Parts: sequence; C-alpha cells; structure tokens
Amino acid sequence: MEGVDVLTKALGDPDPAVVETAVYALGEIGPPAAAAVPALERLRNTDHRKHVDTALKKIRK
Amino acid sequence: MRSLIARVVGLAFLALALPAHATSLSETSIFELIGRADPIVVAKVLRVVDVPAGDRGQTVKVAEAEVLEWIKSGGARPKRIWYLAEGTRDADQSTAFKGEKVLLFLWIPKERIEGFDLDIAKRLASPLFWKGVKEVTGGAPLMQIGFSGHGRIPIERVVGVEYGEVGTWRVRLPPDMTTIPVEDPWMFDIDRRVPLADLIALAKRRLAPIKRAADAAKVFKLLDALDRDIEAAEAMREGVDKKDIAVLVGLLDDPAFPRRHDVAEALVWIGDAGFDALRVALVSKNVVRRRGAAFAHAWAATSEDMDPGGGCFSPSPRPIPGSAGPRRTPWVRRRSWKASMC
Repeated sequence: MEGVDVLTKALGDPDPAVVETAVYALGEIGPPAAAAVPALERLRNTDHRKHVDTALKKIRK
Repeated sequence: MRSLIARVVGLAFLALALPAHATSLSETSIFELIGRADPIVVAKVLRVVDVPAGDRGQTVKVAEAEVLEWIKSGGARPKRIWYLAEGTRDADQSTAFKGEKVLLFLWIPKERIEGFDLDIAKRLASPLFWKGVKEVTGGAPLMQIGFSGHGRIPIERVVGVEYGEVGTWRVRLPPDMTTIPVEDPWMFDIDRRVPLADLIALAKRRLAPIKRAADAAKVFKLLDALDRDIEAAEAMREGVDKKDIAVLVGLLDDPAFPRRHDVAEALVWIGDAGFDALRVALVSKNVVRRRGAAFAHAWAATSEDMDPGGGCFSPSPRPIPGSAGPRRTPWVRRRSWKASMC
C-alpha cells in the first residue's frame, strides 16, 4: 500500500507535528498499515509514545 | 529628611507621568510587523561596524548583512543590506551580532535616521557619522529595525529545524501558531520559538491575499460544488489541472484555514493526481507544506478506515492532529454522492 510507505517515511520527519499526524494516519488505516509497525515501535521511546500505542492497537486489532 | 521624601515622591510622580513609550517597549503583533515593515528579509550578519560619530571617539553601530531570502520588497532586492545596529532611544532593543541569522522587519527611513535620546541623537546628528556610513555602505540606504527592535527575530537551529525566537509579550502571535518554549525565557527577553518556515509562510500568505484569491477562484468553486452540488463537481473534474492541485495543496498550509478539511477531501476526490501531489508535498523542504500534506493523508486515511464496506462514511470522533477548529463532517455529503457505491 503506497500510502503506508509514504506515511512510514514521514515517521522520520524532523518536525514533531508531521510525525504525530503520520502516526495518527497509520492508526486510522488500521491492519493494512502492518508494514509500518517496526517504524512505529521505534517511536515508542519518544514523546509520541501515547499516539504510537493507540496507532499500534488499531493496526494489530 | 523631609526634603528627601518630597524629592522621592516627586520623582515617583514624574516617572508615572512620563509616556509609557519613553521607558518601555510597546506591544505589537506579527501581522503589524508584516504589514508595516518594508523590506522583510532572512539575513546573515556579516559584520558590525563601529562608525565614528563624534570628535571624542563616539561611534554608532551599523550592521552589514547578506540577504538569504527576500520576503517583502517594494523595489530592488540587493544581496547585501545595511542597518542601524543600535536603538534610537533607551528602550529600543535594536542590535546585531556578527554571524547571527535573523528574520528582519526593516524600515527604510525617508529622511536620515534621528535619535530620540540625547546621546544617540547627538551621535546620529554627527556629519562624521553620515560620511562614515556612506563609505561603509557605498551609498546604499541605511535601514532601521522596525518597532524599536521588535523587528529583529533571531533564528536558531534546534534538532535540525530552524526557529525564529520571539518574545510573545512584545510580539503577539496568532493563537493557532505552533511554538515551543525556549530554555531560559528571561535571559534574552524571548519566550517562544516558532518554526521559521511557519513565520515565512504566514508573511507570504498575508502579503499575497489578492493573488491567492484570484488563483483560488476556480478551486473555491470546486469546493462549493463538492459541498452542495456533486453533479456540478463531477462536471468540473475533467477541468482540474496541475495549477488547481497546487492551489489546493497550498491551501493546506494554513492550519487555521476554515475549509482545510474540504481541501483535503477535494484532493482525495480528485484521485491519483491529488494523491501524487500530496506524496510530493509530504517530502517537501517546507515544514508547513509537509504538515499540510500529513493532515490530508490523515484525512484520507480516516475516510478509508470509515469505508470498510466500499463507500459509506461516518464521522470520526477524534480530530486529526494539527487540525484547528471544530471538525466538520463532510461525510454526510460524501455519503450522499457516494450512495450508489454503498
């Protein structure tokens, strides 16, 4: 899924607002965004943890 | 003792009677800076020169800066500019430091710059100073930092992102503007950092309302059609070109734009060309552009998620991050025009 690739790349954006929105978007895509899970896992030790956890829950449901 | 008390009381009354601007800086807004300053530039200070301004070794500081980006200019756009690097009165915070990168809101004085406090007034009135200025600038105008130094916004790079540093009790910012705090707000009279790209985008948007309205006329017609008359929108679909898509992507830049959701929806509705533009925008060098693209992607993702059965939409209970204002629910009209797909 091309949208997932683009959003996964956006997880590495230097701007926190872009990252947060990309995390949200991947969560909204849900299970089809499974390819983004490793990149999201890497963000769990950052300030984005709360949003990342929510997104991971939605992707893994 | 009595006379001392009388003197102190007298001085206190005098201080209260003085106009506020004589001792302190007034408040302004970023919009006032944008509107009244000319030129507005991003510049790097190359040197700060002490220009002789009196027979007793007095000097006045003048800065030479290389313009990295012109944001507003009424005429010529030289690569180098010169401006007064000290205040024309006590409370004026105008200054410059060699090597600093700054966003400058400048004024080009019609007459020679005058000082309002005795010392600087004397130095600025010195013929020696103006002779020295001519030698330093080569005859180019000596500009002045606008609003008593408010027009100088130092730029700092923090974790790879450039920020303009602002004292928000002196320069008001729009409430929806993204800012981060500075480590020590009291040291330099600065309390917030604003992404430089946001400040520049704000200025450019503010300075080009007429152009924007003309460019966007067709796009707004499309948005209205998508809102009210899907058949009319479908009829317009063929006529949507690259320029319209660029306007739509540009409209996403403004987080406070009330129809931002509609714009995102329109780009999704356009299809491949809209998604392609958003994909490019998401890797743009402009952080504001990337935020807008991320917002639209989130919008698209929300729609897809709400559409598991093939075309039926329902409102999301959560706002998209970065989304300002109340969440609209265009799902109603989308459901109506996509009813055949449900």
